[in-house]
Amino acid sequence: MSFAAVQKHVAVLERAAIIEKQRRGKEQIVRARLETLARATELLGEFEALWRERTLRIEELLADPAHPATDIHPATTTPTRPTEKGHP
Amino acid sequence: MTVISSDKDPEALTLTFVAEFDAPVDRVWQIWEDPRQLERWWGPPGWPATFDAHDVTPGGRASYYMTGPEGEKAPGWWHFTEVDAPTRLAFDDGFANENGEPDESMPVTKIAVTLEPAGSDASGTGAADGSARTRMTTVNTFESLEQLEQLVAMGMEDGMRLAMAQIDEVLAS
Repeated sequence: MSFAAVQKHVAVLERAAIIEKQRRGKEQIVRARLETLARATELLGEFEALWRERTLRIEELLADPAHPATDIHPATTTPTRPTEKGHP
Repeated sequence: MTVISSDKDPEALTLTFVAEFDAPVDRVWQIWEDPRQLERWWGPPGWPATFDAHDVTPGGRASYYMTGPEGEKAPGWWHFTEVDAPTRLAFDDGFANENGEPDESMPVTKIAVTLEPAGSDASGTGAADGSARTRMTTVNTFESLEQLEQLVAMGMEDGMRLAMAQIDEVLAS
C-alpha cells in the first residue's frame, strides 16, 4: 500500500473516532482511541492516589489541637460569610 | 472513610475528587489559605512543600518548592484565577525554574476547589451537637495525555528516589 493510501485510511479511521493522531515533534503518533482512554484513566489514577494521601494528611491536620480553629465560632454564627472568616 | 467519590474522565482529562471532613467550612478553608497549614499536606510523602509566597486573591500568585529526601528542590508556582472565601478557590499549578519563574516547557494543571457544608450540617449553621462537616470537591484538569504522562513519569522518578533514600537509610542502620 502506498503512503498516500495509508494516509487516506488513517483519515477515515480518525473521522470515525476509532483512532486518533497526536503530534510529537515532527512525528504523528496514531493510536487506537480505546488504548488512549485506558492510558488516561490509568494516569488519572495516580492523581487519585495522591489526593487519597492528601485527604489522610488533611484529616490529621484538622485533628491537631495546635490549630483549634473549630472552637473560634460558636455554632450559632453563620461561618460561611467571608467577613466572619477566622484568621489563624 | 472520608473519600466520597473519585471520578476519572479520560476524555476530558479530569479527575474529580470528593472528600468530607469533620470540620466547618471556615476551618477547611484555612488549610488552603494559611501557607503553614497547606505545607503540612500538599507535598507527596518525602517531598514536603514550603510556600514562600501565598497571595490568595484573584490574580494573586503563590510560590513554593518541594524538598526531596536528598535535599533537592522542586520549585513550583500557583496562579489564583478565582477566590471566593471560604467556599471557592481555583488556580493553575505549574513548575518554576531556579529563579522562581514559570517554566513554560512544563505541564500546567488547573485545580478548582469547592467547599460546602455536608451531611446533617447542610444548613451551614452547625449541627445541634455543635459538630460540622464539610464536603471538599477538587477538580483537576490536565492539558493533554502527553503532559499527564510527563507529570506521572516525574512523580515516579521522585518515588524511585524516595525508595532509594529509604534503602540507603536501612543499609546505614
